[in-house]
Parts: sequence; structure tokens; C-alpha cells
Amino acid sequence: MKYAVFVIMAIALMPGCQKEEITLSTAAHDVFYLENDKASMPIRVHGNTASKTFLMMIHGGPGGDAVVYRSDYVKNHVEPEFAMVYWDQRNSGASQGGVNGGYDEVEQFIEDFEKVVVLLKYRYGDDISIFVNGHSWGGFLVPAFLQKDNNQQSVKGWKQSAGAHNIPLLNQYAVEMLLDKAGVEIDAGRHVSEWTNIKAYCDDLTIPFTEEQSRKINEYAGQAQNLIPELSQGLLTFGDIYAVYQENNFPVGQMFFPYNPLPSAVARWLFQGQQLSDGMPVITVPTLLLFGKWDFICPPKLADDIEQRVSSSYVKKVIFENSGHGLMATADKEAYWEEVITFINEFK
Amino acid sequence: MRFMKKISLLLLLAIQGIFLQAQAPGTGLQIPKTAIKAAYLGSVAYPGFKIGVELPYKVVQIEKAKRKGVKTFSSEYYLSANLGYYHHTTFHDNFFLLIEWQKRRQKASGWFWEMAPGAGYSRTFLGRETYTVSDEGVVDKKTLAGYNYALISFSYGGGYNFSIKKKNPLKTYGKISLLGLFPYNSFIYLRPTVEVGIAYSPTRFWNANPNVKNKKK
Repeated sequence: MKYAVFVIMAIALMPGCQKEEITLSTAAHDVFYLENDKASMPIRVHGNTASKTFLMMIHGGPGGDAVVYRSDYVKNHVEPEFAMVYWDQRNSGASQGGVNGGYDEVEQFIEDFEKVVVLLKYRYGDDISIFVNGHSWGGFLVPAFLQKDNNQQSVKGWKQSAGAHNIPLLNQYAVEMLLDKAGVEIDAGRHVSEWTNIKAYCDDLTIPFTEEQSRKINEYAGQAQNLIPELSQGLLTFGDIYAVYQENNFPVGQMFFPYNPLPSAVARWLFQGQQLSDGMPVITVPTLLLFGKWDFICPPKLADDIEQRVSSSYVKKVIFENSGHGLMATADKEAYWEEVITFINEFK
Repeated sequence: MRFMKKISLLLLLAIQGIFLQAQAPGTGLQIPKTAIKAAYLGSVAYPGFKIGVELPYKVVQIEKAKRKGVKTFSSEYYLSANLGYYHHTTFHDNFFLLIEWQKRRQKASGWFWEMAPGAGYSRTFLGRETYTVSDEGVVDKKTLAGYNYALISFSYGGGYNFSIKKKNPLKTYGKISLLGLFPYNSFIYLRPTVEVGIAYSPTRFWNANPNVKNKKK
């Protein structure tokens, strides 16, 4: 009995024995949390922290997670170059907490973002170079962060990877792309019924689109990508995601019960027609715009809007010919990451 | 993780060892007794344990006429109180108190099936160091960071009651269960787990005197 009591006490004391890991090495694997306004968000830092160069992946969704970007290719080819930072946003991924966050404001996400940057500098040194890479919804959050106050002074450059910085423009371009592609696919006899449905819906639309239409366009854009199998080759399957989650000690239950009302509410707010184009001229940091030619979800023409508006002395736009929305993991992934590495090496 | 598995195993053995000398009569269907339970509670890769006491409060013994004879079984109703814990590397350590209502169908063969909805309280501790950053940019490290949650659970499974055929007041069981923590991220966190354990009814321990009814069908 004494033995059993001893064992229970030993287990009870374990949480108090956390070991802090601040690693400057070529192969660091650190995990820590930022607690802010009732949410605790995990930050995973993998790779070459000794390079003093950090690339933050700002994940999509809203409500996705960052660890899914940690593919074998990234582990083998990107993390040895510099440190990858995988931050799960509040109410997303492996974040924890009680009731937190607002239903319709991006300000809370920006504040979290700012504090992650402060925390990275606290742990790894004020002299580190930070780059930010926004994908999809993350491509709304990154320019929102950069446009606020002096935030852009804390980063060396930003990458917009199939980002959604302007929802009305995104919808307009998506409808154009869907109608063009539907014509080609119907003529070629591929998935005729599905493309006919998409075409019929898009034909009836008139600008400006409502929130409901915006969500439907997004749904059809995702469906269109799935109708072109080569655009999905390389994307993680259910089994792949399970393996990635297990490897990173991510709560796999999130795969089966992913719904959360707050990210869904943020998405609704977004689809009401939010846009950041007007604030783009304040951005002066080096800018790399990476889009897939066949991305119906965040069409590549969005890159033109950013390219024309930002005040950065360096702006580069690359449209990958064989990619859709998952450009960092599919056919053009090598070229995509080569662009990212070259950009970071130039401006770090 | 190996360390945790060893601890869970040792815990099971230790608690089983305490009561090895106790015995209870076992002739056919009998009135269930209060039992002490100990179980490994884990998921695919993350171990934990659950210990508790189950208290029978109602038993319905049923005789059902069949073509081959009379089938006898009982529906047993329990309340159980449990202390649980699991460790999920880098995610959190979770301690919880859980009250369960158990309904068990005990067959004359010794096998049983049971379901148990439950509710309780959970306290998590985040699995790595946690920082706060003030609006002025001052970083602080927070000790014992974590959250209090309400807990709900549902489990279903089966086991074998050794006291039915032999004079051994031991049961073994296995269950799958779903734990739910709320409000978690403004909603709920659901965690599937597996529970494998033993329940032991010492001779002189908390006489429950459940309400017994007999039915014939």
C-alpha cells in the first residue's frame, strides 16, 4: 500500500518538473506555450536555431493547425537551413484554454501574433531574424499584422503563400477562374455534371457577393481543386496527417472532432467581405508572393493586387504552373521551397 | 512513456496485491458487492491510470424462459467514484475526478457488459513551459500553467466476473471511453481512451446492501 501511495504521489508531482528547452543547435526540437487572454497556444520550433533565422508558418483555416506544414520535405530540406516556427492560433490545433477570443475581430489574433514574436526574441535572442509566411487565412493575418503600428519592424520579410488578403477580390477572381475552367472541362468531357453545377451557380452571380455566396464560392473552389487530381498529389492523406500528429504529440482527437464555433465565426466574419488592400501601401519589408496557377480558393491574380500596392523595395511574384492551393506540398514544392530559402538567405 | 507504462503496471500490481488474501463466495448469480477498481487508462501512445470504488445500489435478477430452459442474468446498477490521470507529452497532464453511473448486465457464465456515463472535474497542466507577455512586452514564465474544466465521459465495454464460477471476488474488464473537457477552446475537447483494469471486492469493505428485485419473463 505504501508503494502504491508513493507511486501516485510521484506521478502527481510530475507536472512541476518540466524541463525548459532553449536550444541553439542545427537540429532543435523545442515546444513551449504562449498564454494570452485565456488561451494557451503551442509554439513548436524545429530546425536550425543556430542559424538565428526563424520562419513562422501562419496557418490557414481559420481553425487549422501549423504542424501539418511539417512535411518530410520540410524536415529534410528546410529545417536544416533555418528554424521553422509552427504556432497554433487560439481555438485551433493543439491550443488550449477555456472560453476565449472574440467572434468577429482579427485584433485578438494580431495581438497573439505580436506576442509570439516577442517571445521568440526573448528565448532565442534579440538578434534573430524573423520571417513570416501566411497561407490562406494566414495570408489575411500576416498583412493585418504587418499593417498595424510598427509590427513590420520586427520581421525581415514576408511571404504570401496563396493568401486571402481581399475577400471580395478573391471571390471575383475565383468565379472567373471557375467559369473559365468549367468551359474547358465540360468541352473535354471531364466531370461534366460537377462542372455544369459549378458553372450554373457562377453564371447567376452578380457583384457584390453576399456572405452566403462567398461561402458557396469557397465550397465550389475546393470542389474544383478536387476534380483535378494532379493538384492534390502530394497533399497529406488522412493517414499521413495521423502520422504527423503522432510524431509531433498533437492531440489526434482533433482529427475526428475538429469543429470549433469560434474559428467558424471568424470565417463568417471574413466572408462578409473583409479586405486589407487599402492598407498595403504601408508595407515596406521585402515581399515574396507565391501562388498556384490553379488555385481556385485563393486565385493567383490576388498577387497582382499586393504587388501593385505595397511600398516594399523588393517584391517578387512567382506563380507555380502545376499547383493549386497546397503549393508548398504538391508538384512544385521543390521550386516553392527553393524560392523561400533564396529569399530568406538574401534578407536575413 | 515507458516509465509511465511501468508505473501504471506497478500500480495495478500493487493494488491487486493488497487484496489477494480476500475472498467472497461465488455460487451462481449473486448480490454484487462494493469493489475497488484500478485500471490502465490510455490512448494509442499516451498512458494513464484510473482508480476508484464502485458501489452497487440496485440489482434486478431476471429469469427468462427460453426453449432450451431458463436463462438467468441480472442488471446491476452502480455508482462509482474515480480518480484518473493521463500524460500526453508536450500537450498536457490531466488529473480528474469522475463520478460514473454504471449499468452492468451480468450473465450466469461470468461474462458481463456494461455502460457508464459520468461527469466530474478535470485539472490540466500544460506539457511544456508556458510564458505570458504583457502589453509592454515583458515576458514572464508561468508555473503550473493549466486549466480547470468540467468533465463528461461515456464508456462501454465488457469483462469477466470470477466470483460467478469460482470463489474469487475479482473482475477484469476492458472498455472504450470518450472523455470530454468543456468549455475547452470555447467548446469541447473529446479524447477517445481505452481502459483495462480489475475490480476487487474485499470481504469486509463498505457493505452496500443494494435494493434487490426479482423478475420473471
